Amino acid sequence: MNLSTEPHKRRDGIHVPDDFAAQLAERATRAAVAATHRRTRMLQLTWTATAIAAVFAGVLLSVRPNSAPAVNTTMQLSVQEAWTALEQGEVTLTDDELFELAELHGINSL
Amino acid sequence: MQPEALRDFTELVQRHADQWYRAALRIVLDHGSAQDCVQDASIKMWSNWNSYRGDAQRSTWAYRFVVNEALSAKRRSRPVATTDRSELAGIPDSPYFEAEAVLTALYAAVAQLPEQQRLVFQFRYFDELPYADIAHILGTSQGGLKANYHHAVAKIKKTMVGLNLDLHSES
Repeated sequence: MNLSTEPHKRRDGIHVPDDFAAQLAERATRAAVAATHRRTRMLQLTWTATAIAAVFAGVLLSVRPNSAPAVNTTMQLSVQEAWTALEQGEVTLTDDELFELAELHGINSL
Repeated sequence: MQPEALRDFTELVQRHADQWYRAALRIVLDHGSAQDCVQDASIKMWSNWNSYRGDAQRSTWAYRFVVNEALSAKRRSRPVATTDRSELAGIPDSPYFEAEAVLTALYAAVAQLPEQQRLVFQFRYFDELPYADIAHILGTSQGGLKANYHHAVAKIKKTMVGLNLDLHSES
């Protein structure tokens, strides 16, 4: 028997019925198209989510209070630091200021 | 995608699903896995539909997806223990496989071949594909394919000595 002359007889011995082949083709086509739709939908959702996130982040940045640490412009010196600075000649005080500082330090003579 | 593309794709699948199933089955040897291969290959075909460059026929281009899918599935699957199932080695497990004695012996002999020789033999002997198409499917040269085919036929003939199977041999 020559297998290759009969349309449904194959050399490999695998004889696929027409209805099975048709069902397989339909399933494969449907799966392929559905997968493409799913991918397109996922892309759309991803882009939409990214766009919404970008807008939200922009709004958030524009309305939030400044979170940078405040710079303290007033400098506070302890008496000891002031005295040390005075001793090192880095500051010049008036006589009154000098006496006041001396009193604070319990210094009676300069 | 354009409606014409979908129509062409649908026609291609309808025309070749039978051949794709048989090719996949001969590689994965399992009815369910072969159907999965056809389906997964179709998904990849459709998603790559526009990347077809026309350097081979569309059907050959598509066949390559099926073969690659089946080879991947085979590599993913657990190897069957050959100690207690050696008599089943290489035999397709499908309700559509006609397990005649000669064919069973042929499949068992084909299963002993290295992968490249096995594939070339299947495409050439079972599907009667031209070497040019096989070269496109496997991404190799026609000269190498011819050598592989002749080695495969020689080995199969040696294995099947005593069985009256008409393997065509060509130069």
